[in-house]
Amino acid sequence: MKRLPAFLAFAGLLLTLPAACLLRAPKLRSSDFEAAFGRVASGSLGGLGARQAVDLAAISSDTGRWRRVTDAWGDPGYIVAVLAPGGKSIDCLSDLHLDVEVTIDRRPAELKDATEPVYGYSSRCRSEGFRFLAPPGAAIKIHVVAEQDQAEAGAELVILHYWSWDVKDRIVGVDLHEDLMRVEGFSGVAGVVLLALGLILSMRGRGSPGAPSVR
Amino acid sequence: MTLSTLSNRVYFGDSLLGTTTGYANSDAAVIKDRLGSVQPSYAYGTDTGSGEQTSPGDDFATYWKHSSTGFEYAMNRYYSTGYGRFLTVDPFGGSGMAVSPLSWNRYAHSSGDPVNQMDPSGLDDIGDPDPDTPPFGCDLFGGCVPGCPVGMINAALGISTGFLPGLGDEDFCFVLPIVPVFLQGGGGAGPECFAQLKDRPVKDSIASKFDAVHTFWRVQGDIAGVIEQFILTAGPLIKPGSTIQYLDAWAIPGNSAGQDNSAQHLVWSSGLSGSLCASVDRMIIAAERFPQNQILYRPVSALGFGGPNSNSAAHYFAIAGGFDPTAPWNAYGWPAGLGFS
Repeated sequence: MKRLPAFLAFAGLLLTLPAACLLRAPKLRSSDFEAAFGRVASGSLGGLGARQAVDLAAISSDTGRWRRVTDAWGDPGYIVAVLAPGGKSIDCLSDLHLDVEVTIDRRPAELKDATEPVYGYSSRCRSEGFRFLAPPGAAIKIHVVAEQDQAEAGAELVILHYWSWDVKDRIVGVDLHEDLMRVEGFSGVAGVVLLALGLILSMRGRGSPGAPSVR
Repeated sequence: MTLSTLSNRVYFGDSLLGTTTGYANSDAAVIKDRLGSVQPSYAYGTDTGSGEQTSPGDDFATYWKHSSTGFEYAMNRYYSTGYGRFLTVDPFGGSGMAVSPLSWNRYAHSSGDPVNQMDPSGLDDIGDPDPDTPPFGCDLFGGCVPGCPVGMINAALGISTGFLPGLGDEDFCFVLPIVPVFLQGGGGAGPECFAQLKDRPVKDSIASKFDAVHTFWRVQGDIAGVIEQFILTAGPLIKPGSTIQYLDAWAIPGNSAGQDNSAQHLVWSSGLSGSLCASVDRMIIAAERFPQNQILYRPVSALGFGGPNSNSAAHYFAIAGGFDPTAPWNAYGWPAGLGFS
């Protein structure tokens, strides 16, 4: 019985330490992902006739969540792309014969071919669309004119954050951290309780051996 | 800059390469040919001296010219237009194949076929970027070389001597050596397919403490009579407008989806056979029709369980194809069911 307080305190310490190591605040939370992977803007392309135009307008991301994302992972920039019906794959913009103009705060944007696949979408394109950079809070306007009829019903013109496929492991890392935090949270609380119990018992134990000396 | 697409005819030598798409802005027309070159250049990127560089950096076949050295930056290594080859060997092992002798030269650019192929990353060739453009002269391997009659091969292939102005293309042509049938992929008696289970470490500090691996499939299927390779992979995806993560899967044409590429560690292989095509096609279909926003994503956990995650999806593809590979022990989530079959 004399060793019980020490055992409890030791066990508590063992349970608390891993939690303490993980308790450093993560830069990102999974709740921030909405800002990273949500569509910035979208509009229907289906049924667009030749020489007809579609316009998209958006304000580039500037929320607290987005700032946390870019602080942790950097700014991926934006991509103008066309999603095939179902939203799972990207249509090749060059095959659709669309004239695309992008302005940021009323100034023409510098567009580059987006040759890297976008995370979350399948594609057979050499170029997925056009990528561009925009400062936080800027007004993005996209003007698209169809050179020919856009027969594919359900196709969508979208502005997305241009994440490469390597972002997958980063997402997993954040998820994993949160998953472990839940487990370690429980063990940490249990550890603190055991540690406190051990200390209390130890203090009481110290008090009781003192009695004989009084006697 | 206001960007719009233009249709232009682009020539190489006397050959019309085809109608291409380029860019134009209000200041100057910037024409990119189908290989992504801004500068007018000979086949291996040597400047013809007939044009002005219109955009700093943009140069030959999507590369950026290093201002001080003059070498072209190809992301993973530098390319020299003067030598017509890369300065260092290809770091991507998956781009070399025993059945393709042209890939044995690890310094060569686009397997010696710079007119029809490009290599934006410095790792692997991308085939004819414009399939509508007719070939000029083709070798038996399917590579096309201007000026070489069908059945002959350009001497520049594989050794990348670069383009030598003044010599006709036919000066480089010679008859192909006979390649043993087995090296060409099993006799050519029809399409042949394979499925390879691959894994790689999850690049995360916590995941690495558990040696967690992510598994995916590299497959070659027969899609409507066309042999095509895919990466079948899965991962977390955030449903638009929510914070909930779902497991989604994709069949990505080619042999690379970021770190999920053909160079990663091979866990299991089906071998190469025409009899596998039906099985592989079922795997591809399973990935293409994988339901989005239905299966909640769960990463690995401290207790070593976890899933459904990307490994659970890789297991699901195996089942779809009728394969039963032994997964790596640290492919957490492999046994987790997806709730459908």
